[in-house]
Amino acid sequence: MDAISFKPELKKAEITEKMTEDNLIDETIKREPVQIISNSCISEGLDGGTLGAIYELTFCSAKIASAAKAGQFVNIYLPGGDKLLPRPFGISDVEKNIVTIVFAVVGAGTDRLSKLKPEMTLDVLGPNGTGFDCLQLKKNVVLVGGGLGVPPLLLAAKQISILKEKRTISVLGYRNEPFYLDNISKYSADTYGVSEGLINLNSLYKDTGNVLDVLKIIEENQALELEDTTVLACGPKPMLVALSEWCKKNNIPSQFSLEERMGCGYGACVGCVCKVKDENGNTERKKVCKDGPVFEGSSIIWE
Amino acid sequence: MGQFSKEVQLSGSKGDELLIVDLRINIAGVIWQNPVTTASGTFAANETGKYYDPKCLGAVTTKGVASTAWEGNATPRIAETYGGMLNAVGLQNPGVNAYIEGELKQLKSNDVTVIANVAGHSPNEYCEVVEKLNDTNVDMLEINVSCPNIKNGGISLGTNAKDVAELTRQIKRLTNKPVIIKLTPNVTDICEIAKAAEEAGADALSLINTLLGMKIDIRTRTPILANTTGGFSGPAIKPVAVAAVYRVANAVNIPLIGMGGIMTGEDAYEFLIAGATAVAVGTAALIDPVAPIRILKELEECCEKYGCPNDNFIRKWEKE
Repeated sequence: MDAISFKPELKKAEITEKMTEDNLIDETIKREPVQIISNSCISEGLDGGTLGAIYELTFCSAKIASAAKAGQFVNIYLPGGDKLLPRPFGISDVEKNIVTIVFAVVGAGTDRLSKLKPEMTLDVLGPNGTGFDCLQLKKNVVLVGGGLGVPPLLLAAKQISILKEKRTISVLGYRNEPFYLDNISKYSADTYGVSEGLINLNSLYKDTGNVLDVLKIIEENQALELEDTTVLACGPKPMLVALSEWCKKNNIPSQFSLEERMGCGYGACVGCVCKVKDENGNTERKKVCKDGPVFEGSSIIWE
Repeated sequence: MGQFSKEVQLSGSKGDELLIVDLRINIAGVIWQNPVTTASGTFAANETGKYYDPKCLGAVTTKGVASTAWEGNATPRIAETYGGMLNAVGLQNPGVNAYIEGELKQLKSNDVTVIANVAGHSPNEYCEVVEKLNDTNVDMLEINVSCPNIKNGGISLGTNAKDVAELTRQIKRLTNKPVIIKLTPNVTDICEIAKAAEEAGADALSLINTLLGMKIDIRTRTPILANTTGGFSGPAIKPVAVAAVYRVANAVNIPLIGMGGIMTGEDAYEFLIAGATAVAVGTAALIDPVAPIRILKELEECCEKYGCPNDNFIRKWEKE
């Protein structure tokens, strides 16, 4: 495997301000232009149109590539002066100096992003947020992804594969055609893909359904020692809500990557809050961009 | 940053004309080393402090604090608009006690000039905060009578000249620290409110706060913001802000901090010509964490290029 800048000797990560500072790289992270290397459509949109089409964009940034932890995201700023706010995307992959993001065209901003060409420059700020805490993982790591939540799990699978004695199982759910299934399976002991539309999937369970269906089958078949398992998840809210109940029922620790409409995307505006319980059961409003996007699953208060 | 003056060859000058560019201002008795501050709600010491040293700015204005911790509004709190944004954060803040022990202490230990923005649902709540801050080493107080997101005491207070005057008088009795009243543009005549605040004893005014705005998702037919409406900010509002500063500068004699859509040093220079003594950078900092520092540098360059924008600097800019 080529050099992935993941430092296994990370100190135990408490979620405090101080620890975040210690994890900073030496150079100041700034909003800076980067060069686009590639920008290709990996899944067609609905009815062959642009809406819902999924793109994989790679850009060159040694700074971001060397600092990125799985679960972190980057702020992408669109060219042109009319759309000011950053678009935050999870970091899906890092390879030498190249950073990969995967996004769907859901509006005018992402439509503009999908039309950018290689060698154009783009302003980027990152890596932002807390990543998955890879020091708290039990022996079995179940990566659960839904739709656009799947690609960031590639970086997670890669970084976990460096740790000793971890067994990664990936459970990936899609609306239609799968993507990132093959590349994630290279870093997983087992990979299960399901789709709400029936497709040929190279997995044990070729069926329609969702990720919870797969997990229940795994549970029934006792295919996994649940008491030695951690779940890392990234995907739409209904998936996370159902998954958190399954984890609670089976007493499985979990880390969820949350999403919320962001303003600045770096912690200044207090726009993107979510509700979590602290150790004493008090409700706190935490910033998804800065205190998250990864939170301990059982602490999240769902609304 | 930190130099107080420099000699600059005037561009296009005949002979050897030199201009001394000295950006220091004295605003309501407090000396700022340059006329740039942050707009309240766009600066957080822990976060922004990772990008630049806040000591480089003339002053830093912190997010509104109330007498107790406020939760803020439900999400979504943010929406994007053409050339701007809407926010309905709702003044989520940890309360004045936590502010004094936390962010204020942190900033003052680094010798930053701090303006504490004060929020409240009622005059009593504002006064409670002012009393506590009066016992600290905060440099100035900015009274947020104009945030459009709070049901009580926000939009209603700032749109009524008599209420603003009464609150200003009450606050002035509780502190010797300079009191800045932050004006809302969501009124018929901002000059009326400005004059009322001045007569009541305000030491300075800051303007403009956000405009009232809204965005509707046409697919769901519902507002994007959970709060329905929010505050509109960003480059799209600059003309409204410049007009407000220009008109208020001609209506009052106290110094003004101008803000609203400043994205570049030239924008800042424009406000200083319009009549502001200082400027604040808000939305620009949300989309580029180092914007206030960049804008300060660009403002310096503008001054070198175009000369002194107004008579409000401490040292009269001399040509030699």
